Amino acid sequence: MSLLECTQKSFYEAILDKDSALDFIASNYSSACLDIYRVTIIENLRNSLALTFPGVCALLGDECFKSAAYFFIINPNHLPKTGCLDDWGEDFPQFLAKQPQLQHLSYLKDYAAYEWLLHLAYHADCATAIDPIELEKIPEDRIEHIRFKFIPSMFLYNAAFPIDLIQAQINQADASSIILNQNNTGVVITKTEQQVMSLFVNQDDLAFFKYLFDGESLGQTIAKTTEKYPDVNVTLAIHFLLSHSLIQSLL
Amino acid sequence: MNLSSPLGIGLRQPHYQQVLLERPQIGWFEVHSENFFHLGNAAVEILCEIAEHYPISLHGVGLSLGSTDGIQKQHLLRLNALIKTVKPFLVSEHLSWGRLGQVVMPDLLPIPYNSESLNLFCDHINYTQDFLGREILIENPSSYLTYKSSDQAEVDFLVSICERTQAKILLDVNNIFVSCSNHGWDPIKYIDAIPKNAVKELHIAGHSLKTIAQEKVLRIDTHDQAVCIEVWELYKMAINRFGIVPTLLEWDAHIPSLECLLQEVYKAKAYVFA
Repeated sequence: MSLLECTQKSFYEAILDKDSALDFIASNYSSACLDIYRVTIIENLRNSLALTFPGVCALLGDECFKSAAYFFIINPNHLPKTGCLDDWGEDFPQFLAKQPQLQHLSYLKDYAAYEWLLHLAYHADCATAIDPIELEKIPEDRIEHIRFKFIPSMFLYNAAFPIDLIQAQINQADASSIILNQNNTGVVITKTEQQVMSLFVNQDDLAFFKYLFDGESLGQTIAKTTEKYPDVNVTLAIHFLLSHSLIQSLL
Repeated sequence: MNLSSPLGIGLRQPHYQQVLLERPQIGWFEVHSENFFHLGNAAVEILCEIAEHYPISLHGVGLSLGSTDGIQKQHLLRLNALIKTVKPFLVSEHLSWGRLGQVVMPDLLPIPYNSESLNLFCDHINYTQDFLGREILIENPSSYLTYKSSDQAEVDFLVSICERTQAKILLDVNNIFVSCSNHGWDPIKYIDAIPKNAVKELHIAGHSLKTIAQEKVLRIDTHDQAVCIEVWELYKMAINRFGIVPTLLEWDAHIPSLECLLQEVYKAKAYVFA
């Protein structure tokens, strides 16, 4: 290992461990000097998490959020892998779910995972949706074989808690009054004209969309969905996809 | 590129709409490249709209040119795509590192100044310039510590980079003041050591003070307040030496109103047009 590699490795170790050796530093007060970099790194990452997870921040309150973010950040496995902080934060919901002190907030992981998808939708590429007429042009004997390619900003999420109620409480800045029963919420997240939207859907519609999203043909999707949800309204579900401009192309 | 004014400011999210609506009198804007790496998002759309009316400079903070683990090609691909989208008149990065292996530490960490790091840094700049097919500028850092393995002055290191790579210097006058104050260097000698034609952009910014021990105060490059008089004086020296080059006011924390930012950068006119 070269001298430069040793120096950078020592620097990295010292950022993560305050008790690490600082014999590579020439300056006096080496620990305090290094701490300036440590604080900046933690602050930059914490600010990034607060931007990506504003609802989680509101639910926890500033101090608790800062503390949770800190313990997330100081685990080297959680540090960013790219120089673009918008790529980072995917592991935060799972981390929150594992924190013993946050177990009473059973909905927190769900809401964090939802906010991560909102973040992905915001940064996703824009794409033009098909004209509904394209679907009508498909010959009847081909229709069950078609597959849908969805726009890049479309994400599906099945939350164990009512995301819409949590969101409403956050918007009212009164997160303390949330009373929740476990109640699955299906969400279709998308972006239209640069506005990220959450469309709340029933479990049968969500299952239908999920099969299509995973690449099943329309015929397979209908068969699999109706097996579990016999009352699913396929026509309305397809109308939903078309009217919200979610289908990018037909395959 | 002909700028309507050499004075520019950092374009930050709170001012996007106002800039689009009011088109303030300013020569150009600078943005942090990595904030626009996702080309499909609204911020890029706004940046492109602003770029129709103002020259844009792309200022990178995440390439980690000084890392011993090389340059991430994916980062360069994204930067290149952004360059093609925005068509900036300047592209810059820092004399720093921030990545070890696959782990990124989001800060501008100092590098030791010695022949090993000079060779590595020059190789990485050459690779970057070849990849992008254009010249890049390298900014001198604010630093809070020095290394035992350094055996060159920072300014000599910076000049050597320019000589060996054809890259130019983005001279941050506030960073000179901060680092010189923290390490006991002479800021005037720093400026005088740089060849007159090597500087293609200047930065000015505010900084803060932090007491780290009894009788030991460090200057921290916080970009959170107005430019101090000592930095304005150094800026004057820089303009006298390097001529009128694009000058940017950076203000990234406790961001004030757009009017306040413009007022602050207009103070530079006293030096530019003196």
